[in-house]
Amino acid sequence: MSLTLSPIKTGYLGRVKIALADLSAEDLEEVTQDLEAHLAELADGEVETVLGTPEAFVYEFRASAGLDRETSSRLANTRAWVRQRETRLTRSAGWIRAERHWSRVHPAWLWVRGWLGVSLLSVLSNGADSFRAFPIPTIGNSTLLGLVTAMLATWVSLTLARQRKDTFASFLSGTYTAVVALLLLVSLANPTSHPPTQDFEAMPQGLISEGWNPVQNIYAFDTDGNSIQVLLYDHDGRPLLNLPSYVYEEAEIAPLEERHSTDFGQVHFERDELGRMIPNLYPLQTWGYSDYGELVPSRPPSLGFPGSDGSEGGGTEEENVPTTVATSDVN
Amino acid sequence: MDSTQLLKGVLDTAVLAVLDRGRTYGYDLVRQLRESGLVEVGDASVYGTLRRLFSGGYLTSEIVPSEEGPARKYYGLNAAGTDLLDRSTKDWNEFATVMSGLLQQEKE
Repeated sequence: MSLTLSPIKTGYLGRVKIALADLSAEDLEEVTQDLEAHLAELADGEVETVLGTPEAFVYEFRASAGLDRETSSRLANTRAWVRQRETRLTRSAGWIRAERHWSRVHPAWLWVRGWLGVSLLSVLSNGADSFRAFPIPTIGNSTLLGLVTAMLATWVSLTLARQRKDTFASFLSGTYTAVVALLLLVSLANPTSHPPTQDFEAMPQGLISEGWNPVQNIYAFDTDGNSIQVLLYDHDGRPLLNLPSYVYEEAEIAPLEERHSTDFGQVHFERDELGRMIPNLYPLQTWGYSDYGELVPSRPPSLGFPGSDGSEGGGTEEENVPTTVATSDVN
Repeated sequence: MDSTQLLKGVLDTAVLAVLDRGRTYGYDLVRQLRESGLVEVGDASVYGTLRRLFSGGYLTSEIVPSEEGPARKYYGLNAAGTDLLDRSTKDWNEFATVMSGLLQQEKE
């Protein structure tokens, strides 16, 4: 038996004291006197084997001693354990270093967090359109509203920080930081969070029809089912065949090719006298594959409308004609 | 049956019985209980029982310095403790008689 307790036993005793912190000093002294002598009889390696963890020891002790309001309370023991961990953490060198760094950046954080909160809200709601005039966030499609909101949020942030002695203001300030941190986490977790319209450009095949099939062409018909001559172009001036973009790109860099293959057939672009592709010149000459695997000139489908031929629905008269890259019927 | 459940009801009496042999300190009290056959008795339960009995005025305590380590607190029975042990012994004997009778009838 040694005169002083080893660090392991001292640590054990300390944890028991923390778990019994609600007892009066006199009662606590009574308990620790017994335990100290008991620990002295044990080897380091058998302390927890014989007595259990400090928290378990206290739990059993309280139950047996019939101790007051916290008798048999696992919650009390858990609380004591958390308190001890918190104390250990806040006294660690790493924590103290972090606190020192934080105190340096804290004033800047108070200025930034208001703007950051509003900006993150804007990012989450507007996606890529959240900064029309960086660094002013866009709120409800309005940069002015974003500016006013960001200024207001910054003012609130600074005001709350100035009233640090006020417990409620301090609580609000902490909540403010927590909300901003939460928004940051949500933004990081959803980096692509923005309205679906923003996805349009990223879709390689453009329009999607029912069943997620890419739209290959658009044909115009009048109400009698007769095709009508309409020239449709996209925003880049390309005929609205909605061919994959690589077809146009390949055609631009390989002008000598007569036809350019697509997933669904072939297409030929007219060129000017310098050999440059004229992507928006109708009619495009396109070919698709027949049922026999032969390349045949594509033709638009012929739709039947109720009343036009006496039948119901959209029957076709040229169902074997591939329509994937068929030319618009503008000849 | 789990003997620890039975032990809860009689630990007070067991502790009083050991102390009736002579005053002793916590560690030795636990050792004596185990040597008597109560091997599953928990150290913390014994200390909790000692605290409750002491607070109830049934025990005396004295700090005795030790040259080998921390001072030991010796517990002993006072008059109230001795009286409580007598009553508990009587209660236990009556209870044990009833239970033995019941179990004997069950066998027959």
